[in-house]
Amino acid sequence: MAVPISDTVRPPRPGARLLAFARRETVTLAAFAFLVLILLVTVWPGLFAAFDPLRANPSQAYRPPSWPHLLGTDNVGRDLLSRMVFGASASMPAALLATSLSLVIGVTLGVVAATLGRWVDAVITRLLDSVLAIPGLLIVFAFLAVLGNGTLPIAVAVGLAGCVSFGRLMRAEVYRVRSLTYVEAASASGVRGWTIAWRHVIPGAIRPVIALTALDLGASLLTIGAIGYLGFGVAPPAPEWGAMVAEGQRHVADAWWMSVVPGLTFVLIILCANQISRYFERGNQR
Amino acid sequence: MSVAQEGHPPAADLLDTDGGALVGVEGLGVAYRVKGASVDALRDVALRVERGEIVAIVGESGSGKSTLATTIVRLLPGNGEILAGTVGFDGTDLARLRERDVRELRGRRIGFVPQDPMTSLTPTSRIGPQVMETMLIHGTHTRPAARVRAVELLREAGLSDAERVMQAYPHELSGGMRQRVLIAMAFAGDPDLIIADEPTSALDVTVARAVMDRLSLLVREHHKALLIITHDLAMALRRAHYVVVMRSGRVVDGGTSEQISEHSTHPYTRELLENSPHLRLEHVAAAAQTTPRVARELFAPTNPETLLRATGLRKVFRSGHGRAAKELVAVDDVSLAVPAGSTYGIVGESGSGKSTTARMVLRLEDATAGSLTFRGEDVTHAKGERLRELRREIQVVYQSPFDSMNPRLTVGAIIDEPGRAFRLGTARERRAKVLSMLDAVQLPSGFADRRPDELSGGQRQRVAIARALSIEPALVVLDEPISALDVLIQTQILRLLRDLQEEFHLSYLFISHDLATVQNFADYVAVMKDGGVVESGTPDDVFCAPRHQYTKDLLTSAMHL
Repeated sequence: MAVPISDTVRPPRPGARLLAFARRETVTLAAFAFLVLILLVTVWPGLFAAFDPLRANPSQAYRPPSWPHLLGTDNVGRDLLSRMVFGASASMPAALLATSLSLVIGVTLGVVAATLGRWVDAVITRLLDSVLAIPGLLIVFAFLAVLGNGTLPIAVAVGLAGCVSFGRLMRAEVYRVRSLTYVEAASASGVRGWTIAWRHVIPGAIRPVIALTALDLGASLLTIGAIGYLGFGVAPPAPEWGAMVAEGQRHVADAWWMSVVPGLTFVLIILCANQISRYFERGNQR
Repeated sequence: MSVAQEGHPPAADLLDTDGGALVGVEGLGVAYRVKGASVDALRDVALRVERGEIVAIVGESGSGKSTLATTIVRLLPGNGEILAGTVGFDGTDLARLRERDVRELRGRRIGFVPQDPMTSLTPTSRIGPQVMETMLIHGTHTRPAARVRAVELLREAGLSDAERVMQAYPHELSGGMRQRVLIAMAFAGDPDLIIADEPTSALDVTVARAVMDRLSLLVREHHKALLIITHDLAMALRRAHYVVVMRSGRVVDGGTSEQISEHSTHPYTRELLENSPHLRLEHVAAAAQTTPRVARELFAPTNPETLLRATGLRKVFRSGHGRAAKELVAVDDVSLAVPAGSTYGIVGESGSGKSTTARMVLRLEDATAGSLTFRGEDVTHAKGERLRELRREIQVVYQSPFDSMNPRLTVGAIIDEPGRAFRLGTARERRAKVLSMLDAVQLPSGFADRRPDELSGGQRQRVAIARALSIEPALVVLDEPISALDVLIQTQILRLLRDLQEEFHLSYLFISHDLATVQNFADYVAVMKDGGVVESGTPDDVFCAPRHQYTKDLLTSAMHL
């Protein structure tokens, strides 16, 4: 590999690197901005909603997207934008909680399995494999049957079902990093096992896990939407995106926007999560 | 150093006027775009290669020699850009040719032998189709004709077993065989020019010599032009008609091999010549004969002052279960004794078991049989805290300064790591220790806050040495500590290691594939082959009066690479 000569570097103009980054990662920045917007909507729904999401107004029913109902109205005349905005505060916190739970449990299982090895590794790996063999939604419903309905049980159920991929990824990454020379060098220097794991192995293994976290956020949101779509989760008339897709389906001939708007929101969020995940996966150096 | 010039046809003068040179590079300037900045890689480079000539481009890493080679075949990485100059090839200017037309030339008119035989062949495809590919793509042969020609090419490249090799997958072949396959592939399109980028640096010396012999022979027989890119000036002088020395993207010196080796007045060329490790093979005068006897007694297993003693070390790697179980004897019955304050060298080619021996001494690998004593205490099976106590006394410096430190830590944290692990002193005392170690390896104290990727290879290796010495061990295992470094840096690091040995009264176990380095650096030498020691003694014993045929072969190959 040719290494460029250091004494002839023509320094970039100030701000050129930032500009180059923005030009290179326009799509990633846009994706990030959209997710930030969704988060803001989740935290301060009142700021974005012009109407009461629950108040029916039959005279305004089936209005297509237009002023003042930017995303139209539904079959009983409720403002779709306001329902979407308040629907975010039903789905997003559950998705965030589920992903955090998957992350913490999965990473812990992966690190413990790979670090202790032997029978501990065998037990954890078999456990994760057998969970993986069962369809995710089935596991979620099994948990819901035990935990009961509601936002928190849904988050916990989705989080537990999702920790499998984190566990497997972390275990594989720990094994990979542990075979690197610098980890062996630390061990040959006399550094103790857990110190090596904490200082060298986990920081080296965490990058793909961050990528998976972004991806998993999208997936959790979709699972939670699916639960709502099937009629579980938040009870009507409270707005919930999955339930709104199901509701809209019944009126698709009269008001296509009722199902398309929440459906498209799912698609957009998942695309954004994908984009950000891929950014972390390849690293910001190009 | 004398240069073998026999057998080379007389060649035209390097500075001859333009008429009919195969390659004529003029005023070439190339730059890379890195993070928004433009970095010059080549500046005003000129080069001529005639048919039937062997020209070597010699330079250290960062000299631009590989950039020059890739520019000629127009395979610059995506961020590379030709800024100025022409790349004349048989009358056309490659620098301005369209990609489609360049593709016509690659393989057909210009053959390329890549550096790394391990990664340069497609692992999922058999050798036959890979050799035939060039002929089929350019439509020079029908499929049956290409098959016949491929067998012929492999045979010419020195693979007598060509029919079997055609059917083999790359992983079934050794490194030397793969490099021969790559040479056969370079000749497949019957090109006029062959470019070989460090064709032997990934190979063992005996294999490298055979490969270079074959390449030179083919070039001479078929009247091709050969451009060798190499860091090894001695090899370039022995193999090429003309040698071009590059540094920092410029051609600093050039001439016939004889002119360069005998009459070059350029200070950089002279420095390179003087720092290439030399084997001293003439018999040492009678006056020096007493030293070997002292050394022999010092290194005798019975010497009471021995720091580390290994007796009958054996390592067997097992893989698979039941019927598929395989055993590989990596090390078999190796004994060695390292006295305090001296250097024990182990020399051997890849697969000889020298690194496995070092790993057993470091207790990173458990010995299958044999014993290991340190300061008279049996440490063969030391575990837990006892093993950690042993690690305090035995430290290691690895071959690659790029892999052996965590890129996320600062240099200060890296050097501090062993001291921190053993809780030596307060944070403030350890910080002072880090600074004094940086000073000991001649790095400025400001380096403590830098990260490894801001350092050059030589600087990183100094950091690795500082880390190893920071807890004042008695023995340091040096596993090929200089083979990833440039020649001039190698000399500096060896000098540093020698100074530190004197200052701290260190013992070294020095592992190397390079005979000349071991001869100059070690007090005692063991030559390993196939897991066993074939010969051992003082460097003068082993290198000036080798008894074993393998040692003789090694020496001959090193002398004539």
